[in-house]
Amino acid sequence: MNLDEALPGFVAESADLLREMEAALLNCGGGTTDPEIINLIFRSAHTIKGSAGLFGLDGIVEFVHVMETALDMVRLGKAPMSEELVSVLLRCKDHVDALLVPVATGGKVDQGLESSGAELHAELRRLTEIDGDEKVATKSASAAAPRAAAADNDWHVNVRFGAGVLTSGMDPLGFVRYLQTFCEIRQLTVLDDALPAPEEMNPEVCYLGFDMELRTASDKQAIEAAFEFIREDCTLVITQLAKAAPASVATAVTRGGSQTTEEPGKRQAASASEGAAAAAFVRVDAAKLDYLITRIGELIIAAAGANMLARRSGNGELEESTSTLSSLVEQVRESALQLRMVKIGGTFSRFQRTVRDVSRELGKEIQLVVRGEDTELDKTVVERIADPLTHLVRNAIDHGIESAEVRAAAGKPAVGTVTLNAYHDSGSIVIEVSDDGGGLKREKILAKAIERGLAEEDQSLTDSEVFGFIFEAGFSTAASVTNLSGRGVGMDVVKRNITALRGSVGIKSEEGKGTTVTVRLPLTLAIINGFQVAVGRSSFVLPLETIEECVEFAAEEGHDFANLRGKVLPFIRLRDVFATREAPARRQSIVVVKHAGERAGLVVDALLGEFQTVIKPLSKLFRNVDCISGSSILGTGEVALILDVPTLIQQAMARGRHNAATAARAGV
Amino acid sequence: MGSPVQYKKRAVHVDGEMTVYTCGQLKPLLLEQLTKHANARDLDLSRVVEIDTAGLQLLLMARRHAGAGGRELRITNPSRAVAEVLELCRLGALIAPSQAAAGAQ
Repeated sequence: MNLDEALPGFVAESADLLREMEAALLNCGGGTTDPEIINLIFRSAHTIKGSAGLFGLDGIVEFVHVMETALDMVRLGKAPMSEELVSVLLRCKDHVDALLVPVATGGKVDQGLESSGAELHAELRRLTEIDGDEKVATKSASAAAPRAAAADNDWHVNVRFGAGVLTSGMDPLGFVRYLQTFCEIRQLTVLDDALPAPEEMNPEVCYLGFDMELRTASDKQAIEAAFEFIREDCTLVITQLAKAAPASVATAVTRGGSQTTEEPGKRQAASASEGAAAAAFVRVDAAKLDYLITRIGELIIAAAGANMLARRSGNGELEESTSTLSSLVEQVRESALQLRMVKIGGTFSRFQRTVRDVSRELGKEIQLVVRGEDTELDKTVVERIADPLTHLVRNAIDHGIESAEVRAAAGKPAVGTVTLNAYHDSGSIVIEVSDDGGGLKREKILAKAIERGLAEEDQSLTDSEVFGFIFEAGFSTAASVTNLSGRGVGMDVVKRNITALRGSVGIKSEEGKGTTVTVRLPLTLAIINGFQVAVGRSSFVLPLETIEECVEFAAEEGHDFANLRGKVLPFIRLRDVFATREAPARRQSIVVVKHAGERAGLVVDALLGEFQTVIKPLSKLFRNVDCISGSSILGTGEVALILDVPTLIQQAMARGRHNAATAARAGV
Repeated sequence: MGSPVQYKKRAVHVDGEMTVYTCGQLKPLLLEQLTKHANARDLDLSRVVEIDTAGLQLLLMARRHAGAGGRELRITNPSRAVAEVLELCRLGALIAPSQAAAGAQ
């Protein structure tokens, strides 16, 4: 492995650490003294610095070093974690994010970034009173002057490197150089006893180790962290030497060699638990995961084919073994899909920052309440939903929540609340963004819609239809345009993004009380439990979760709706939608489907049963075809189209209303 | 020209990088020169532009090889890169005494 290949890992890891740091910063607020939180922030900075050092990213090392020093002052109780410092540290975190961009893309750091970095440094120094001349020592040992503080401790470090470290691109000397940045190396011995005879030595295998004595204000974890990159590939023993003892005595103790008898056990125990924690997560290339899931998709198709042949052959044993196979494949599918599932909490917590920043900018006091953060959904969906959600949250803050005066006049609490909620509902995940603000003004929206020709004056529209207009391109009723939202771009983009994920978006609002935007998304984009139906000779697949029940076809004479236990059920004939020529079957069925609280019937010729469906995206040519969301291959090798239930329901509803309207008009 | 390890003026000279990328090639050449010139006691590292742990290991190996033959191999004219690593590892003693001061400059 070469260092460049490890770089994406570094960028991803740093991004994670920065997110943790941000969360901790937002968590701690001003004036905190909680050592856990401060340590967590410190460690994040420290680890980033360490890793950046390994990659020779001096710009990042230099910047983070000052952050780290500032945090160290806080940690040592020499500077307070003021509200102001939190703000500056948040900006520093953003700055590191920005510094990471060129690393990831291979670009250059631009000048503006450098000067803003210097500015942040100045602020950090001002807030924690760090000497201006303290710099990162990279050159020689003497430059890493001991920060003679009372908290300094002496450590004995014995490290031996694994044989493969050199070929994996690591240079053990680099770790020593890095230690110098925060330790005074008082003593160092190169351990070369493992070096074999010259003839047998493999020059690419590492045989060396180091025995060091360090003096530092940092703790054991910090020293350990220096070796984090090769923790798996080295044996590391760190022992604290008797504190405040005369140097000669301390040295005598370490030279005795007995210190290694007690500590290794502890170290092993510690590393075992660390190992357990580390083993809990494995970072896997997303592409590999995608490949696995595609393969499993193929496996499901193949298994379905085998199953069908077995049934046809009439061989009982074969049938039994294929059915065992199928159930195993089913389990593998489940767990493979689980691999892609992530909790939405990570995305939600990102909004703490958005809310904080935006509400400050607008001078509003707003709290973010998060519910259902353990709800899981597909990683791709999470990634692609972040932007639309950000927009919705911003909108809620900007347009939803009123100013403090208005709120006080309305008798509401001064602090506005934005709530994010997530839960599972019939095979989809529902994400709600609500605010307790002023709500949408129905009349204003309707007036604007009529003005723009989206609605007619005498048209009777439901609330959700009226509110739906705000998702139209260029639609804005905001009286004032702020730099956040209200320019009429955005909601239409939000809707488009969500629709592209096979999701839907709805809005509920009560004037004076607040607005709730509901986003519904499929749990996964790869495989669904399908229900196969036939119309004529064609097969179609419906997502099983959308199906409520199947009933025998019985229409009210001359109408496109059926009587379902006393309720009107509008339906559409798939035969008409897909212009099927064959004569309808003698007994047709209605599949009752449901989406977002609405239900409709689909008239089909035959019900073929449940079927594991691997979604194959349609080619670009068919992208604009309504009513079809994808295709799938059946066990027989035939293609079945996957029906887009939400669109079909909308069509059925629209037709139902249209008919009702015609009927009403005819009646007049 | 050609070989990065050459014998001239009673010293073995190494030229270029002494890193994990070059050590595979350097090792046999170094052993060959040290064996061939059994009286050579100096290892001139003035033209080593870069040295890492693999290079350091190679130096220690060369010393051990020479030591087995009963001579002490000394480093002369360490380049800046070599001097830095030797200082870091507290191995300044490997530099020939008369040279130590010069190397530090």
